[in-house]
Amino acid sequence: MNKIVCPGCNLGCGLYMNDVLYFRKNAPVNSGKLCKFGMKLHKYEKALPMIGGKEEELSNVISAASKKLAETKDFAFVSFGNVTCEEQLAFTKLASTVGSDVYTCIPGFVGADIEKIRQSTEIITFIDPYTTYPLILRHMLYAKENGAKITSYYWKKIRIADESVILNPTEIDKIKSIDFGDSLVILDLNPLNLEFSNEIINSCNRENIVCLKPFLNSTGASLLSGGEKSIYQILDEIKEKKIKGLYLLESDPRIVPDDALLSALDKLDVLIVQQSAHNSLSDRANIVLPNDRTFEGKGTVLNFEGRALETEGKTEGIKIISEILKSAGKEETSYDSLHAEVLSKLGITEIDEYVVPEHNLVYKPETELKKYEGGSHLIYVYTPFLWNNTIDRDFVEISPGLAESLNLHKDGLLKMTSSKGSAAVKYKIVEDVPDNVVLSPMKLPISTDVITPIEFK
Amino acid sequence: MNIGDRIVAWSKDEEIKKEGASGGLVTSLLTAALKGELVDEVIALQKVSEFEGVPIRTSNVDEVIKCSGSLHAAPINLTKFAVRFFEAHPDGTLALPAKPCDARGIIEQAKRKKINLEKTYLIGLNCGGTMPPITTMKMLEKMYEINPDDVIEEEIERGKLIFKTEKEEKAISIDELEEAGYGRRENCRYCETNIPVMTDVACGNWGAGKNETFVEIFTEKGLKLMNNAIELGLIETAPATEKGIKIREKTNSVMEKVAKKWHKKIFVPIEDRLERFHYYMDVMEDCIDCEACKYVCPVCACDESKCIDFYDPMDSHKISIYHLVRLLHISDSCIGCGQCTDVCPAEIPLTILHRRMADRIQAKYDYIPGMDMKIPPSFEVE
Ligand SMILES: Cc1cc2nc3c(=O)[nH]c(=O)nc-3n(C[C@H](O)[C@H](O)[C@H](O)COP(=O)(O)OP(=O)(O)OC[C@H]3O[C@@H](n4cnc5c(N)ncnc54)[C@H](O)[C@@H]3O)c2cc1C
Ligand code: SF4
Repeated sequence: MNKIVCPGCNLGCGLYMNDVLYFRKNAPVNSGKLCKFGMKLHKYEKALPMIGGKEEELSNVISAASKKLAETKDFAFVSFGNVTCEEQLAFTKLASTVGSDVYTCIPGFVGADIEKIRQSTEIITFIDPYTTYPLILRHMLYAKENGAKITSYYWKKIRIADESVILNPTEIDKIKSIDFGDSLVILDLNPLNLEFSNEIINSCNRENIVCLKPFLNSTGASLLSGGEKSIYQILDEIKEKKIKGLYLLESDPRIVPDDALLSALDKLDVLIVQQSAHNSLSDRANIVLPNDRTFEGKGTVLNFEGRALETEGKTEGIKIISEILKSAGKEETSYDSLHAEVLSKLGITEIDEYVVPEHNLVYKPETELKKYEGGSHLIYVYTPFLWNNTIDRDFVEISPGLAESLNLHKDGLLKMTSSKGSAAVKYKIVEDVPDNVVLSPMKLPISTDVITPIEFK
Repeated sequence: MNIGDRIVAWSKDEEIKKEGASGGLVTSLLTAALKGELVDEVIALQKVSEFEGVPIRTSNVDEVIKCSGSLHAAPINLTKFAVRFFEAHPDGTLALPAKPCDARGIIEQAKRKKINLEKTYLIGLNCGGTMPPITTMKMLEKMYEINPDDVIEEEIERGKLIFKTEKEEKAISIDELEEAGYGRRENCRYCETNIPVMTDVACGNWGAGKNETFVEIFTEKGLKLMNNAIELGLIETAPATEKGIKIREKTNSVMEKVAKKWHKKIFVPIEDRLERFHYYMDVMEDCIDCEACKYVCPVCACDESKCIDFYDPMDSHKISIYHLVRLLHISDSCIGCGQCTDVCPAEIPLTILHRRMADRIQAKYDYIPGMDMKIPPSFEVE
């Protein structure tokens, strides 16, 4: 059995897998517990090496990729962190051969660790721990059992909280006046909500922030790759032809709420994707390179606390990147040398999953909180699982008040219209969502952003 | 040698004898079963550290040897691994070490035709309980002042939990540890089955001398396992001493009493109906619908799960129908192994909830699941 880390998010849950999935009861983060994503991780259709939509010998695809990298100016490299540190480092080396950085789209920021949640007496949370990062819930429950007071700021009531402050897009400024004091803050740092998380990071003591992230190795990736651009910036620059070639390593820009933004990809001279799964993104690419599945790569993963974890598996992805380097006349690389370099960059000599090393990642968040006019809003309450195509919820959540005012009855559909058109969706009634808010765990075609102004018609 | 015999036995291989928990008998029975072609594969727990064991399925004798020793802080139930074996090899034969909860899970699955018990050799391990690894590591630091990495051996003797390092040996009574919130998993504390009488042979150190295992033979298969190992020259046996037999019986009855005491302490009746209702509601509301409890449950055997069938995440119920169906459906077969509590990310004390229900149902129908193949599941319709 291979010892792996669940690729569902950056919490770092330990698993064993071969034909059976088995939970590592002594894994420091999850102690043998697992959420819905980890339970279902084996469903994937494998991507094959392709050029122009046709399957090709891997060696030909590698040469083609290398040639494209050499001849195309202004190449951008993106890797959110769905690969091991070793592969991320190899990718960074590849990017540097054409003078580019690797963008992770999530800033390098490491906050407090799990033990700090368990020991805290006051917690302020901005996530829904039941759906977004379920494995953090038990640490909050532990703190609560020991007398911690939990205050939640979210779009709906959060059961574990002693006090739930219900946020509303029209009064989003409310978060600016929170008195954080010495409270421990639980925050989700992901590519879609940087303005929101930046606001919080700038308002409280950084050492008190537990900063959750969505991808397997988000923390390791941002530590090893310096590029700081948001996914929106990258898409904008492609549109403006400032970026002409794009190489995506196990990273899918379709996470953005507005699919219209993706039309930028058609403006690229060349799109290379290296990924394990075959999907509509690989269908869209000029060159497809296969990769180890996210949970099958061998190497090191850094979880949101900065804890180094070991995963057992293959190194095919690294070999492919090394072959591209070779074919470009550069120095090849190998797993062993990358691993040694990773350890040295992390400032450790070996991986001890029970110790959280110190990491000093500098992060200067500079964004403005967006403003939302009155009226109603559709909020995309994404979860890391959604990005792994595992969400099984095809309904939105609304308040009893909204259901009543629209005269909705059981099994009916909720009709919404935005500047992008209309949609009719199934809904579930939940307590304490504002009457002007619809929460959607799935990306709806009418969304223009994480928060989309809508009307009910 | 006959069914009903109580003997002591040990491995003739010096290395296995040394590495084994008490003489390496179980390891030698398993390797002999492979060598003598009694079985196609063996399931065993491969040691990664004192706090981690990985279940493996193998036909490789060397791999089985690597699994010798008892891991008290690796609370794994092997039932579902046996189910997977029979899914892959419906006509295959299998041998595995089985704590009482492993064996009981396997018997309940056999009743539901997921395991062929006639082709499964159950080498029973007496069990006084397992410990949760992460909590145990914390316990070592706090109570023993020992770095978990330094532990080279761990054993239980006369109610004390002993940890050894290269430099020292420290013992603390299990009662004291459990008072401090450490020690055995909660369900193990009230588990009353210490000697796995439902297996083919029960092996343990109670009543045995140093480096030997006390064995009680229950079935024809058990006899075959022993004779096969003797014929292959892999084990040595001697009759159990009267003193040994007495010690084993006495320790077992003390353990049963302790378990009953824990049961009483944990399962305080909730007489008031409304209070009872809220007791379930309160904790179950935390459920995140991950279905992990079903995945690990050793007695859960549906191909098309009833608990999922009736449940729709779109329903606005405060607690999911999933659990209500499960509570009812598992109430005849729940063996209280604790796997559901272990796995639940929302820390719902599922085993206690299930046992509260199951205790009443199982008493009403006078049915203790996983003890033998004689009685069909009480909810089964012919
Ligand atoms: C958790 C636990 C508690 C025990 N408590 C008692 C007790 O209170 N009284 C008593 O008399 N005996 C107890 N035993 C049995 C005893 O420790 C020895 O296993 C037994 O005497 C056989 O020794 P051996 O040298 O022949 O086994 P070995 O040759 O060392 O073989 C042991 C086998 O058990 C398997 N194993 C190890 N850990 C586990 C586990 N956690 N779950 C399932 N299989 C496992 C290994 O894979 C190996 O195949 C316990 C065993 C375990 C695993
Ligand atoms: S393991 Fe816990 S959270 Fe998951 S379905 Fe079972 S009770 Fe619910």
